[in-house]
Amino acid sequence: MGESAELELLRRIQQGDEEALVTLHRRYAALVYSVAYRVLNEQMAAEEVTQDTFLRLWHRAETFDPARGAFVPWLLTIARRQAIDTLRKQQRDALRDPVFLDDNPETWENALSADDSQHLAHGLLRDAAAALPDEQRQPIEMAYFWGMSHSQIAARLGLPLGTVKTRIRLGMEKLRAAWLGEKSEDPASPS
Amino acid sequence: MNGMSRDELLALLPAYALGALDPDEQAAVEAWLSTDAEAQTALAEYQAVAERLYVLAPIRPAPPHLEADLRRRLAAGRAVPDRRLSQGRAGRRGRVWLAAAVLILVIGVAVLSRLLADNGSPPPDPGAVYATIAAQADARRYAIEAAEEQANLRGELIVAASGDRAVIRVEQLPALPPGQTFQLWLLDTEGTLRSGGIFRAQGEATHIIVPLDRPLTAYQRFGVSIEPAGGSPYPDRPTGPVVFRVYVNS
Repeated sequence: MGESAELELLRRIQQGDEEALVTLHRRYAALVYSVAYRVLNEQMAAEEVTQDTFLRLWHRAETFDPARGAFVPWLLTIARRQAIDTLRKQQRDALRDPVFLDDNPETWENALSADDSQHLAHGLLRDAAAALPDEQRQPIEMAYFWGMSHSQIAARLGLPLGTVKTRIRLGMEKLRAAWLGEKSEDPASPS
Repeated sequence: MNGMSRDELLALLPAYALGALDPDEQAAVEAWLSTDAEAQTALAEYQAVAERLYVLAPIRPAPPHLEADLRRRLAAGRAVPDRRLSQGRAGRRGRVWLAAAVLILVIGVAVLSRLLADNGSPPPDPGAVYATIAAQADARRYAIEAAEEQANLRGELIVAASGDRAVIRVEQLPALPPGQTFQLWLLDTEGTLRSGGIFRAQGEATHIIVPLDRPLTAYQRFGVSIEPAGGSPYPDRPTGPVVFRVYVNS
């Protein structure tokens, strides 16, 4: 599904077309659920966040602005923020049974259709993330999925703040280089 | 630049894009960004990465019942989207007051009944309560929805016309090994989940009294999960797989 198809569905949603929302749900529920589950690590709560995300889309479809970015990152940002809010309300320990990057063969570039404009870039980003050393990927995941600041991450991991800052910076620089299709300049990066 | 050099601020851009800076550093970066076009370009690149870090989440298939659940929720709140939001808020406020009034009434009646009736009598037999409610012509019935792995499971929730008593009757619950138990969960319309107690399967059919402490309209659904003996270690969430659900207001 390309951006133009999504824009058409969003237009129909604004007119009250429930089938348009169901079509988007059929297409993207797994992605929303995967992000919510990654944050919450619990099935029922992840289901609730998934449904709440789509109901929010139902009520607020007009807030998507294609000039400011692509649809999927926008949708999944809503889902992630909602999941982090739920996590905070539940006052849960985000690191309970942590699940860092796994070797699940189902990847995002496969989950997103080939006509998605950023299909290839998603693959590059995923590969670059998989190649990050754990010490760089872990604080990035803690910030992204659990909304933690780098001082919270440092306290949680028992590391000096400067170390966490450096690891986040190095990891993000490599991901940025991958996204831009550049070769990383970090000598520690894999060839 | 708030005491920080340009290089120091540049080094903070990746964490800024992730939303990981502490407030004082965030303010310093924002003040500097407005004056540095090169930094704005670099930030846009980091933000493009940061907003796609969902690729780090393992892909999971969405539970199949979610689509039907979405249709149910849409049907429950059917209206034109743009108008619905504002009207919904006003209506919700009214419903909250109504629910609060009903809640006070129900609690009052329940407390009075308990004071009058609590003479140390044994807890009611769930099967007998089910039969009593089922005999009422105006009892409400809700089908249970089994998890995908529990294809043989069937049953219903039955609610007394008065709305204050509810029992689930279910057949073909899976056999559990020692050290595991079933646990009932109640999800209210505010999204709060609480335990409704643990139970074991009984013979051909299992009856479970749903401990309603509010009117049925205050709940979205009930569900049963498989938990370690003694129940989930958490009061507000299950830890094991869901066996079935019953939707009452979504």
